Amino acid sequence: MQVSELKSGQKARVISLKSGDKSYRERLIALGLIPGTLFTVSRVAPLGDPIQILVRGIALSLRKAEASILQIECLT
Amino acid sequence: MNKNVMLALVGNPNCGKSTLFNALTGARQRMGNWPGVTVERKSGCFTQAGKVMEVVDLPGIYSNLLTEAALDERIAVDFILAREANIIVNIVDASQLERHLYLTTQLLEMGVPLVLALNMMDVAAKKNIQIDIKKLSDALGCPVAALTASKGGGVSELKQMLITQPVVARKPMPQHAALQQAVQALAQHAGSEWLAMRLLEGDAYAERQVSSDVLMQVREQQALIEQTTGEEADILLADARYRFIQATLAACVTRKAEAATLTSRLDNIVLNRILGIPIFFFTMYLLFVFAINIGGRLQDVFDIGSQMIFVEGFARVLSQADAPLWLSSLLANGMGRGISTTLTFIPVLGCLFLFLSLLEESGYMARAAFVIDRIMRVLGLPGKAFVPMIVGFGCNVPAVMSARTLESKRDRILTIMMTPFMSCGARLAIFAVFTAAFFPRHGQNIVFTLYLIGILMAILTGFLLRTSILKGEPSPLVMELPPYRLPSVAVLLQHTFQRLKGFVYRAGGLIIPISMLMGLLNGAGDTQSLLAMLGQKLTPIFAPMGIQTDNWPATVGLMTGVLAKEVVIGTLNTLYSQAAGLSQHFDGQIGAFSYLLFVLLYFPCVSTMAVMMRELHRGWTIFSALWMTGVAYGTAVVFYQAATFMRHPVSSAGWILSVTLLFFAVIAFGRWYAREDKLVSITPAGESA
Repeated sequence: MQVSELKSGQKARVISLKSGDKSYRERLIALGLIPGTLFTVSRVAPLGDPIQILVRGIALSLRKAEASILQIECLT
Repeated sequence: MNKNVMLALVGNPNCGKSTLFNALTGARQRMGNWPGVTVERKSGCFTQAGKVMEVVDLPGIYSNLLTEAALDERIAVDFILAREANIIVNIVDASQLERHLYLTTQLLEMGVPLVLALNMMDVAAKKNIQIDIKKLSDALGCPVAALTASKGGGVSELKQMLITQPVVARKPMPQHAALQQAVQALAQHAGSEWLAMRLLEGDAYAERQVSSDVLMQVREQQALIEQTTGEEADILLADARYRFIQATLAACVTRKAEAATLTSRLDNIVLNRILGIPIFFFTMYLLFVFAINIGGRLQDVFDIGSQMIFVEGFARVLSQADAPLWLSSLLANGMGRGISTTLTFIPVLGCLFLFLSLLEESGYMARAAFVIDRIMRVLGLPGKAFVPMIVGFGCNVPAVMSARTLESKRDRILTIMMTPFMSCGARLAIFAVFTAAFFPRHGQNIVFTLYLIGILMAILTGFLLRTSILKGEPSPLVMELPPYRLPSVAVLLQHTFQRLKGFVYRAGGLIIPISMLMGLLNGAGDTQSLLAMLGQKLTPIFAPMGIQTDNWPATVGLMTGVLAKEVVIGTLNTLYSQAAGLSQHFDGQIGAFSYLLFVLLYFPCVSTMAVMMRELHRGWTIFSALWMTGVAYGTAVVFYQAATFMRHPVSSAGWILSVTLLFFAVIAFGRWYAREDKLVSITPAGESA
């Protein structure tokens, strides 16, 4: 499952990261979006993209297409 | 013994680094750029117990892993990895320790002398977070200072701590067995365990330190790790760090459950599906009103004042001293006007920078980018690029400067190339005079059409650049939405002042010499001046867009308009003095509109050029000037020839055809040039690698 399929308020867990753009991947890793990490979708931007997630106490915004390197599972 | 101690301030974005920098160094600061690049380098110093401590404020980073990250981050990482600093002061937000300590763990792995500065202790206390400083210091193996830098709390204790140079007590983090084996296998070839670990993580800096043989072994070990554990090495390493952080926090930090914060409640309104966009546009409108209206009012005062002193004052002194005309033109109409032009930007720029700093420091800028990102993506730009576009309608100078807030160089270049097409206030003044003379009934439609053409040309330019020289997507978005914060007035004023100072020095350095040249050419400003003669010579070039030979003042107007576009009208008024107004001199409405088209699109004014030079490279500035003038000429000619087609169908068809062909030839050349992969020659050497 991918981040773009989540709705506002849903909780999810990271399963894996694809290689994709190296600096993007390393940035996500540095911010703690690694396998096993839980996060919540706080909201979707007014025009449908990007989305805001809450991970390890920080609010991050990610574009749906770019965040597709994350494989996730929905928990709610 | 008296050698200076070099401190580097390192931390995530939004950790209060600048505030601590100010608290440490006070007024003893130097602003400059990092060598060869346009990233601000802030340094300063303070004296503690007789020792001079030099402080370098590094750009905010999330990780010290070197990838093809944004330019300013790369500078920070390079500086840290080159171990140029004697001590690293790692600033972390005490209220968001989990995320901020990630960088700390990486710095500890490096084994550099490190002091951890826990900033924003007040915010943490408000969130009911209690930190056992002693335990944390023991767990991490480095000195820890508690700070509230915004109120100056703990700064003197930190300074004391820095004097007793921190010892490096590196505690290895528990690692996955497979990873440990790989590190040990590589360490003897790589030179150290740290380097081996970094190689496994895929750090570009480490890869530069070793031979290709070692790199081969690294690839083998990486594959082996993935085989045995099912995860890649970089993830295992990050996982180990986060596990270590969580264990440390569990032992040293207690936090009680917190209620919904002010930030999340505010975000429910500011980022609301329905309200988000109106709030965004309202804020941009406020920015515009604040900079252009309020700053503009003050600008008039500045303008009159500085004109009186530097132009008329100089002229009076010089005429009393019986100075020759050329000297008076050079000093009063040249240098004086140049100084005056530079100074009159201060109110508008000051207001703009103040508002922009407020948006940045308060945390709204990230929200604005979040809301508008989707729209800007259509133009191949990130959300933040909206600000320069909006500001451009007021004045292109602050617009170009506000592109600084964009992280990636590609996005900055693209934005700066597009902004001068936004029709600024000075151009509106010209449009107003012309429409009053030529289009008394539908003036507003004409002006609106011109604005639209400007926007379309900006989009076209952006599109052409994106599909040739500046290929690629806008930099991927991983943006933190920081908690809202009430910024301190001192920090806002300081940001504003520093940016203004940069403008006055750099832009003034170009505006003043060009003004002097123009002053000299213009002489007494009459029909006998060099400029007038030059204008007469050049006018035939503009014949295809409807400027007849006897209308050479129109050409002179375009030339002086390079100085500042509003000067066009002044020049025309002086040179047309005998005749009865504008309407006699142009080929009716068609001629007037094609002239306005040219004025809208041609050569950015000297001041805009000056800031472009400051923000980008000379090559891009020249490209912008040539491209804009070319587009202006082409558009004006095609319009004029199409509108007067019936009068001379053959030559009109010829002109339209050749302009169109030339346009496509230029595009084809651009694509060919880009395909040759010569990007390096366009970006300055220091920034291309």
